[in-house]
Amino acid sequence: MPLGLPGHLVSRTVIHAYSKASHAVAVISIGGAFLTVGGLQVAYPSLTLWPAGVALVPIAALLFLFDRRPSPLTAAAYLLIGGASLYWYAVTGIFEYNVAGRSDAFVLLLPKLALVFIAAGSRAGAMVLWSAAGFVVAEGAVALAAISANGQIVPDGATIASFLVIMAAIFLTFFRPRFAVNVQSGFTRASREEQLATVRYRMEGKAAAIMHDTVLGHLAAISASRVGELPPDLRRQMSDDLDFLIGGEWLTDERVPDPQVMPEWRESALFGAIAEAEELGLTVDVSGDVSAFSLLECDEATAIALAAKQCLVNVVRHAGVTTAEVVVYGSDTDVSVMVIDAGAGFTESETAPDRLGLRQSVRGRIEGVGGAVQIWSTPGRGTSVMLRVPIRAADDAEASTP
Amino acid sequence: MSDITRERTIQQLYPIGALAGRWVSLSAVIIAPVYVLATSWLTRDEINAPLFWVLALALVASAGLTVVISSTALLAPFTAHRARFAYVWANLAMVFDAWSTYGTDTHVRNDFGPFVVGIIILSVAPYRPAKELFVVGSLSAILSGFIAMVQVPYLVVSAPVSGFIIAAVMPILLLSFGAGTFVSALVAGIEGWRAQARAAVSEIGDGNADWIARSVQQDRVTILNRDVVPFFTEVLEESTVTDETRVRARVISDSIRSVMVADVDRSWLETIVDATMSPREATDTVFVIDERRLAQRMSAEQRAGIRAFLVALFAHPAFTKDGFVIAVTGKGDRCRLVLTATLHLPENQVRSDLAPYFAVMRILFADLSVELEQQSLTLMFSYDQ
Repeated sequence: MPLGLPGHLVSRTVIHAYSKASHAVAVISIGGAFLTVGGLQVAYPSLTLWPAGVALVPIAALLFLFDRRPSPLTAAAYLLIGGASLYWYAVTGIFEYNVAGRSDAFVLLLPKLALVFIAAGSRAGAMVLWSAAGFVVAEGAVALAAISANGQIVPDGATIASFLVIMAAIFLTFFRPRFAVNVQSGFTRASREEQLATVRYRMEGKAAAIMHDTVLGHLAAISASRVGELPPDLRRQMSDDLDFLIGGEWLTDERVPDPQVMPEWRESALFGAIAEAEELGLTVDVSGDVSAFSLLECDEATAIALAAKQCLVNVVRHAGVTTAEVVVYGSDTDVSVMVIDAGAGFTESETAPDRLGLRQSVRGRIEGVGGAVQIWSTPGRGTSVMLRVPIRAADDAEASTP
Repeated sequence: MSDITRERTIQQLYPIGALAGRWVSLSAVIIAPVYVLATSWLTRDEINAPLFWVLALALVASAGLTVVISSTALLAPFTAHRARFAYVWANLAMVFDAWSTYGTDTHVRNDFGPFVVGIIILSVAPYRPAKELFVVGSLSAILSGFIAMVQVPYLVVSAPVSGFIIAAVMPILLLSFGAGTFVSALVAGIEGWRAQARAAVSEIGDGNADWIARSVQQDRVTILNRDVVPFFTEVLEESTVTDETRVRARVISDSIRSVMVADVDRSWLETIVDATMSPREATDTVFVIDERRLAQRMSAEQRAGIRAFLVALFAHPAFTKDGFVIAVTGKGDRCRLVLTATLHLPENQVRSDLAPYFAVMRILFADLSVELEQQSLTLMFSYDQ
């Protein structure tokens, strides 16, 4: 998934963040005003300043309502009731605590900011208009209060500066340079292509493994056959696989069990894979907790079964023994299948690079479902192959590999 | 160097947004010294220690420069360490501002210190986590309040101490908490989308799996139809194995095996380069050296980043295929990728054109280094195996 936000979500997300930030500023302003009034009341107990503090309550309440349920109606209510409350606050402040009766006093600035930082609307233009409305209402309410209380109407530089800062912030926040749009969409597109490529990569790995197990296997068997009649088992398998490869949709794999049904052991893909290996003349001893196999989802169960089958086919072809052991282990997070033989053994690093059995049909398959393969083999002393795949519910978060 | 631990910042979750929002930072750091000069001019009579005022101005400029330099794309991410310098310079500027007018200051509201601290905190908002902005804002506000308290005896306005403290802390609190809340809400929005997108990833895979499977199967069936199907059909019909049959089986097997081995050996990067580069001038040109197929050890996010960068690079009008090569090597638990390309353009132009990609890649690869010399671009970075 790409870093960032897709283009169509940017405005909505930024507007939401901007609104929250503005409302945080408004809350702090109201809080600051409340503390200022409280401090004055405590310092000058003879004055009746507490009504100014009460006047802040409706502003705070409407701000809360507007923040929770943003709409033109709640925004208008915030400005109207906020404006009326601010008038009440200012009249009380100017009458009782007359800072030269000026409308630009600090004690009046903070609640004005609360109205200017209204941040309503769903577009930058609307936000500017609502903020301008907040500015007009705030300054108007304080000017009216100044007139009522015989104070002075003085243009408030701080409020004007705050309003201009809001305009600049809206412009800078919502202005997205062309490169940002193009580059972000490039990353989003690349991410989607990468997701599809990952699916394709897995499919190709699956196809290569199936091709190896069927076509290459039969070609190798033919080239190793004696001159004469085609062995009946090989004939049957060739015929089945030819029908399978040409006739069906084998990559979506109709051979796999229904993923909704947790297979019982005898119906499991691993049981079938072992049975097929036994048809090649191998005696397979199965031990361990075979019920653990039912913990796997369809993809993982199929992958581990086909990989185990390839290990058993390798025993038949290369180990020079007729018996092998399959041990199944289960834990909370994964299921392991170990294929053990006491045959010829080999050194993995010395395996020819064009031998695809171990590489693709075993490693490729298991790693394709997020699992791991470990091989212990010593020439002349046998081979053990551990196939481990995660139980998907325990491993949902794991990142996929291409 | 290990990969970056992702912080909850706009820059790390939305690098292009942070780069586009750099205007906010630049504007803020321009406003700061202008504001300092303007307020200082208006209250010039109150400055009794010009040296401290000069120091304060220099610290404001240093804080601004720290933000400007640290927010460049090629130095991303803007670390806490670098931000700390900006915070400290700004707070020291606030102290020296107060010192320069100590004893002659008449109004707390005239002091530029608190505003400068707030504006510096605001300017780092695209790059730092909300929590840090809240904490630094709160600590700076405490310092500002303390400074105001010390100055109270000399102020001309008659008001309780609490009033002066509130006036002194408000610019910092409003700007830092406003910025912090913006970051917090935007990051939450981005993370929310990423959580949804993560769930959608598997849906994209599932939704497209069928047609991809059909396409891959068709490729394989085409190969089979050429030799294997006629051969198997013939063998099944005749039901006998001859020397000629055995030889043909071996030849067909070798042919298919070589195609499959080539596919398996193919690096993920080669696939990308082939898919995104326009038709090659020379088909045997080697563009990717990745013998151990280490490119696919990158995370899905890193792969998407590289893919987007390569698409942009190949589409660049100044890009030429001559000299283009990507080499991936492994050492220990790290892989190292070196990309070399030639772009027939001045260095600054290339840097500017590709800056947004570098900004994202710096987040994806912590140690990305970009060298531009004589129209040759070299990108180097490492990632976990």
